[in-house]
Amino acid sequence: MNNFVLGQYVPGNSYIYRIDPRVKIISTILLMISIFFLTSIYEILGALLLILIILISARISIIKAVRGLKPLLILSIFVFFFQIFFNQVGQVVYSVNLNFSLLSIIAIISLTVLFIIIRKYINFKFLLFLVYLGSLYASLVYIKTTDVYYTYVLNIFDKGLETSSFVFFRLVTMVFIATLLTLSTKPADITLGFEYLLRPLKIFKLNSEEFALIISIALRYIPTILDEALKIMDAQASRGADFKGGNVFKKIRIIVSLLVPMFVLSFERSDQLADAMLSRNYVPGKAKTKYHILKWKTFDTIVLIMSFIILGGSICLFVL
Amino acid sequence: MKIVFDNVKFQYDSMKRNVLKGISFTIDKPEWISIIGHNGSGKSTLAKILVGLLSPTFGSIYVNDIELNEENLYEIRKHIGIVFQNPDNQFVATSVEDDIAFGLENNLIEREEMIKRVDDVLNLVSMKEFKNEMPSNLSGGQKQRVAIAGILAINPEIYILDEATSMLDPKGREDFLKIVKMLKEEGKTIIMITHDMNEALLTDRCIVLKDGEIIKDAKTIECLNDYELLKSSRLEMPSSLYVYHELKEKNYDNKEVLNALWESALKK
Repeated sequence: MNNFVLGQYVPGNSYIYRIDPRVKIISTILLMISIFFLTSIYEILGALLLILIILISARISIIKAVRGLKPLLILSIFVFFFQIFFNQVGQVVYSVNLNFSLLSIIAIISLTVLFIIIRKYINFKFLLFLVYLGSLYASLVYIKTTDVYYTYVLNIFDKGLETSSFVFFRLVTMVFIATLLTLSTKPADITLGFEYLLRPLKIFKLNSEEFALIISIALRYIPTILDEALKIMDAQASRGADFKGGNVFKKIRIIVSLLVPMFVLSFERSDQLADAMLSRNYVPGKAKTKYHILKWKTFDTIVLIMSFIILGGSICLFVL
Repeated sequence: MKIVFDNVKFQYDSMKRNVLKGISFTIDKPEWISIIGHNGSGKSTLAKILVGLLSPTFGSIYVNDIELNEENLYEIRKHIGIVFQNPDNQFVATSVEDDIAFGLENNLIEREEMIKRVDDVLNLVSMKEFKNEMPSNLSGGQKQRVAIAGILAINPEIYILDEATSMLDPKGREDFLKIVKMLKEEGKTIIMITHDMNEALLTDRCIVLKDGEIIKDAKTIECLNDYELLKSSRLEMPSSLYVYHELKEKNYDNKEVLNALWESALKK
């Protein structure tokens, strides 16, 4: 369960780990902005190649970076197909007839039912989903009976294909840039970086130290509270609660029965934590000495300059 | 350091009756004190009043002859440290070293000194190899050791342990008590709040609370001898002590057996 949030960070000691967190945060933002200035698929592929080179040279496992894509997979696939179906500009590169007949509709329904059933018992849900999509496609294309009700001609245009892969790869590149930060920087260091970067906001009465403390307490308690949720779920399951099955309403009721004790316990917890902090002489807003300080090194300046050069380069590409 | 409780009463806003009904005692030399009582006897409230988390509704507390109030509270907290019951709910930071540094930062200790002290106390509680560990990877006993290390780093004169071992397994408890014994040898005042006679046995002096009142404040040995007191305050006690008292009550008079039981109770 710890892998959920905090496990993102992978310990290592390549050059990327030695970059100041402030610089990493700024560079990540700069690189992300640069991506938005790129207009063609070749430029995006170039950017992707650059990120991959950074990943490899920093000895960060590509597999871990690809795992970062997981939450966005469905979105990116949707975007990909959306563009292919609806962007009908340019020349037709591929054309196929989709036949809706009695038999193919039966096939679609039974495939869907099969997919829903198998999905519960299998680990590779995403692979299964792809197989499902593929078989839907096959049943529409290859089942040719005489009683066709409706034929949809699917035309794939070269521009559509290009835009869809452009959007897809842009998303992938963005995720890789973000993962580069989270894989190589401890959450505590990211928080510290933000604390430093947000210091100028003092003018607006925002105390960056308190802000950082709030974030670090939140991060620290995520695994603890998840653990607690699992315990409560176990306790309720042993009394007959069913967290997996049931319709939407039943699920909502079960979730409520989980949330109520979680809320009560969290308030209790925060009370005790507040006591512990006060007894250790914490006074909100009071100046503290610092255990962790960030030191700017020449290497950080180089990285920052390089990020600005990349941003400048992409703006040039955009303008020219 | 001298602490005087003068007729301290306390009432929670939501409750009609007093949780503490006029507590008076004095601590004026380094000693190991246990405050014992069953659930609801007011012992944890007493601990919170001691560190100024709650202020008494009546009566006063004097620390070194100065009355405790809002202004001098922060100064006094530098001299009193407390370890609470739940290991999870007092671990503030995302790593062991940061948690120890938390109290040091609040007390405005210089950075070089902080780094030195963090290393020193981690050695003292033998948690050196866990310096960068996240709290979720530590056992309850290890978290409590970090908690006491955080207080050790401030180096107060008085340590309050509010049922600090009650959520630990036997091994964790043993390791924790080892550190407490070390503190005792250094001449610190330790106030151990517990409902377990097994732990109170280790102490020099015991204050027994019942329904918000002190019913006994004496040497621990005296408390152990008072079977009526132990029974009426519903405390858990070592089984050998229980057998000792039961036999004595039934006029069993084999000195050898009784002595053996008494010895074994004290050894624990």
